[in-house]
Amino acid sequence: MDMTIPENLDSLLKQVTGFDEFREGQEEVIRSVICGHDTIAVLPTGAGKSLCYQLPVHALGGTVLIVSPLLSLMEDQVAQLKMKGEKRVAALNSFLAPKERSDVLANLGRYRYLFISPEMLIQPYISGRIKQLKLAYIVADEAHCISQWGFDFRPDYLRLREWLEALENRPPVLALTATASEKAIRDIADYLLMKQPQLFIHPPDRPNIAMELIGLDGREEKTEWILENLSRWKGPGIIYVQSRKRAEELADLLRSRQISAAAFHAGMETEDRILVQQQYLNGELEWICATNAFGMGINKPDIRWIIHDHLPPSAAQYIQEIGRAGRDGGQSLSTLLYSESDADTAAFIAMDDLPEPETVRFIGRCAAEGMDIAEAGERAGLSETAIRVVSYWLGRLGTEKAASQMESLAAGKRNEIIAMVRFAEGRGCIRSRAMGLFGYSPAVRPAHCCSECGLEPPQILIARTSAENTPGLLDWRKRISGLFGV
Amino acid sequence: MSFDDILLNIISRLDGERYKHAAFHLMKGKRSGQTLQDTEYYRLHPFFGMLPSLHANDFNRCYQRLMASGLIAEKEDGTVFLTADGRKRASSLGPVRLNGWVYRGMEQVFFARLALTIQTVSHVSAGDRMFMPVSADPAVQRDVRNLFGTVLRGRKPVEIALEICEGLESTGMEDDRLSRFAARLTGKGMSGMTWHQLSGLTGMSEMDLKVEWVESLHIWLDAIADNPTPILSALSRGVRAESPLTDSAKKTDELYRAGMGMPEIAQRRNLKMSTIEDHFVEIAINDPTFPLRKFAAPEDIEAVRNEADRLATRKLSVLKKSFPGLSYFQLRLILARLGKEDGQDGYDDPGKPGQPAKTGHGL
Repeated sequence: MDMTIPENLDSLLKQVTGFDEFREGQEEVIRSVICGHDTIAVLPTGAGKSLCYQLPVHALGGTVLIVSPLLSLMEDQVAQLKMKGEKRVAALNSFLAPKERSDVLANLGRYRYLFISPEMLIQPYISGRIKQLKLAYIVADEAHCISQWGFDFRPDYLRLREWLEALENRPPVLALTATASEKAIRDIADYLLMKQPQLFIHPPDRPNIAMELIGLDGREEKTEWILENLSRWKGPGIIYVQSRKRAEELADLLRSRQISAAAFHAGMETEDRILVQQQYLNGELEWICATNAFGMGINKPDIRWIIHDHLPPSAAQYIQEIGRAGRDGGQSLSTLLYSESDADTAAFIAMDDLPEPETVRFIGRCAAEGMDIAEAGERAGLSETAIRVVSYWLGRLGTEKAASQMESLAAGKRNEIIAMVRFAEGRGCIRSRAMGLFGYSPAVRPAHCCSECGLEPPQILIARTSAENTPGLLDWRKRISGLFGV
Repeated sequence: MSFDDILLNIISRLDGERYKHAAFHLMKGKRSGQTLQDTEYYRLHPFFGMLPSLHANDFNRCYQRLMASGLIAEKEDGTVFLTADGRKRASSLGPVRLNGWVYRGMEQVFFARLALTIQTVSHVSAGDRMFMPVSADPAVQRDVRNLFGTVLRGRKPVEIALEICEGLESTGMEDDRLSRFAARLTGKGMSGMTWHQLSGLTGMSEMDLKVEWVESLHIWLDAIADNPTPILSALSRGVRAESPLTDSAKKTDELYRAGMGMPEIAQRRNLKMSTIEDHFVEIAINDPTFPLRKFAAPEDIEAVRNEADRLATRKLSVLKKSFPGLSYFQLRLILARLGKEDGQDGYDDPGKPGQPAKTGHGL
């Protein structure tokens, strides 16, 4: 391939995005990709990760294949690109109707950005078609999901390795993630068959997010704390909760105090999830009470406050979630409400999806007798995710090793929770200790650092002056006139 | 009509011969032989596929409510029937204006196109070309993009608003109902409401709101079919079912017409024999020229018809006892053609505009 690598990427940036300058960390990553290196980039949420995979293709030509394990995130990125006027973008995932899928497949060579879920990628027909494309590079988005040590481990993602193995001429791979421990980075390099990858790691520290840790005694106290504080101070913000029920409970309680809030979780209809997102982006909604699964799609620059109603089961998840605040660079706050019983709940939920070694042996025996693994898993009462995990490891390692694999996975998860408990119960600068969980220390100590460093939240929060009036039901003629601006 | 009343209405038609699942599958629009057959026997066309994403929990809650209030009860074998109170309540209900058989959930596509069109006009006319579309469905996005290149090209917002308002006006739906309908629409700085929010604002349950919304769409779509206007016709293109057959049954029908036998079709299509049988029942229900006599002797057909009339039942298990010599498949085919004896098809096409009243209304 004959290609000149632009000395100066600024003009490319200007031409494609209209921006004059890169944000910190972007340029090195983009240069590495254009030079054809396998690259791992760990950039904090809000650092402009997406530009890292969006820009190089403009210098290289061809199609970028973006493998993304989280459907909501994929949809969001496709929508963002389309919003920016990019027409050559498509997504292949299980949301597509058969007709749409065949439309995308018929035009495959036309796209600049092709998003795909791992389970689609390994389907023989689709895989064959993609192999015929001129791929500029392959992006593994949310790469921490590939690591069994990551909080978002997606077993399907591991199949990407097999797919890469089967490629004759593998284009460079770019792995992107916001947070990854050393262990996870090793996993990523290994699973993606990377050859001497270029590593760009930026600590997940966000100086504009002040950190607060508050110990409370149980759920009722948390509810009280939230209601009292949100009545006094304004958002916009997100409250991360552990269950759909809690999301709805809190949203209802806030509404009863004239604070505009809505729940956001996987149990809602797609249309309603989009509406809640719209309202939040528009500023019609101040608070979202969300479970972790669906915070992903929210891309709002002026989020001022993230509250955790529970202990996140891993440092990576915690940092990723608080990182949704203050993307505009404005002063923001993150509050972790912790009570002693949180550890047990976190452990229960984290382990819930992980099969016991005994179960793996049972499924192994069933499989040996010719039973379908999915059926055996169902008999053992496993969730779909768990069945996929077991099925993957059984196929790769055999019964005994797969069983002990489950033990080490469980131990890994337990360790992450223990680390979070120590973090929540410990003393000393919260920012330093949070960064310490990733093996870094903060570069600077911001003026509003954390509750251990003398943070006074009232200094950075904005007082609520008057209760909001919830609008009534508008007459349909008026509403339609208003919508059309006539 | 509330969700409870809809279910009561359905159960009243099922006439104590079916289990609660029959009503659930019907509302979800399950394309199985059994549900299609039920739809036909019990004249349930208005309700077919009215709530494709109905959740079993919501359905069961409603069912339990009707049980608890003594409007319905179950026989020993689990089939459900209306109590005296239930019959009284059912006969006091207004007409159903749903038209599920014709739209089969496609009314949601119409709404998605409408909502995206309005959102687009609203943003673009405010000078905003970047917004998050209310419909993530690529097919809907493509349809709307096409509309802006054709029927909407050069149209002023005020013209589009006028056609929509006049269209809604012509349906005769009351203002409060239309306001609840319009509350789901999104524009610049004005997002639609979730069901939960709308429920909080109106005091109606989420299920009742959804049912009302589907019915409003059916009413409007029927009106558009009767009196087409340019934009609304374009928005509703293709939402009416063209063929009453499911796609899969259509393929089976084609192969059968090409001269293949059932086992051959099953083999060729790599489908189970029972699935092919379901297809044949579906074809028999819908095709006035279906050659029933190739599947059963004329005297058997006659005997089954008489027995079904005598016992006033369409229950297979009952008829099977009277005709142990006939297969379930044969009985289902004969029942499928019941009331549409040779040549004089009694099936009135609910697909015609204005027609659903015949199959749908009253009790």
